[in-house]
Amino acid sequence: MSTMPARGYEPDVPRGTATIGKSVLIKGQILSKEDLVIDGAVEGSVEAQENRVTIGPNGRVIANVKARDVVVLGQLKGNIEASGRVEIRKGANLVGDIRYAKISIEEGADLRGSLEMIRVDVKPEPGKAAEVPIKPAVETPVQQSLGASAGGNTVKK
Amino acid sequence: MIKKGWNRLFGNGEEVPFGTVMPAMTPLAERVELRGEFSRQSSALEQFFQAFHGQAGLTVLDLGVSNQENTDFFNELGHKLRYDNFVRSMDESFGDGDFYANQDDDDRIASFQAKVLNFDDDSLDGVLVWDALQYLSPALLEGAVSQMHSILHKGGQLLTVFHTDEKLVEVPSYSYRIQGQNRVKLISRTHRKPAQFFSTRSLEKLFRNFDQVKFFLTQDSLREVIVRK
Repeated sequence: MSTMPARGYEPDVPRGTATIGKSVLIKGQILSKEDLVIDGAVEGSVEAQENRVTIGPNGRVIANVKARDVVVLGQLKGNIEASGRVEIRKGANLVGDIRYAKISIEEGADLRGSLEMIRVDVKPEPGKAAEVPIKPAVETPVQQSLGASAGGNTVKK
Repeated sequence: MIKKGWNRLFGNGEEVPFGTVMPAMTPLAERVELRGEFSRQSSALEQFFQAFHGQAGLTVLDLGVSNQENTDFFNELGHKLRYDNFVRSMDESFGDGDFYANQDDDDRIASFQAKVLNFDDDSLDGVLVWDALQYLSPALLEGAVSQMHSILHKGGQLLTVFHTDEKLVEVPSYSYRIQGQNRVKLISRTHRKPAQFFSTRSLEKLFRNFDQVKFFLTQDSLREVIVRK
């Protein structure tokens, strides 16, 4: 019989990525400064302005998600605002409005909501990279209904 | 305020005189056929986009399945696209058991109405219905068309498609992908039994509350219909 300790579960995610596992439920506000994979349940709001948020195939999220890039494979009820790319993958179930700079929608995704491209119209100063301005999204019914559920515990990373 | 459920399931019954009712034949376009899909010209789509000429920032509701092609097309034109996934919502609400008998069940109807067409009055510039209306029972169909009339702006348009072969028990159900302002790709998804056969007369009656109705017969046994509020 081996005396080696059993190895714990290691999710298949790159370093510098936080993961919410499929048996985890978080209620509240999540602020992340690293890439985030949600494969569990989240109710509240998710913000990772300079990073990627991935809602995994087991993810069940009732929240507005604001990030650089957003990838959805699971279920999301809430709005997405992404200064970069939104990917709606096969099997995703998404009810909410999406604002994006780029979007890809795979066959087999179930999307119900509005799609609005963020227009970049700021000229970069010489020697500086252009910043993508994001106007605050108009409050939608989904946001209004989420307002009541947000709060409670606060998770800050 | 967003409406919860449709206010006028059976419409208001007012007769509004038509504008132009103009049956027309889509010209024989070159038809590119691939396995389970083909693309062709669409006169109705051309009319639909002609009304948008020179405008940006309009809001169009697509009742079909979300897809990259339609999203990109509206992005390029600078319009906002909404998806409602109407047929999937029908299947979710009525699909287990007898599809049409279930459309008489009040609870199921309420569930369906909570999922689709919940927009403010006069808030949309266009609705791409595609072939979804063929699968609604008469009472639900009247309510859906009445609700579409309510949520469209004055002058807004609705594009829909019906099969013309009344002998078919089941008709092919397509996913519609916009390829250009007058071109559409049809991807065959499944065959479904339509609720009823729609003649020109029955369609005129169905859209009686709209100001204008135009029909375009296509080579693939479809009748494209474009109506304007």
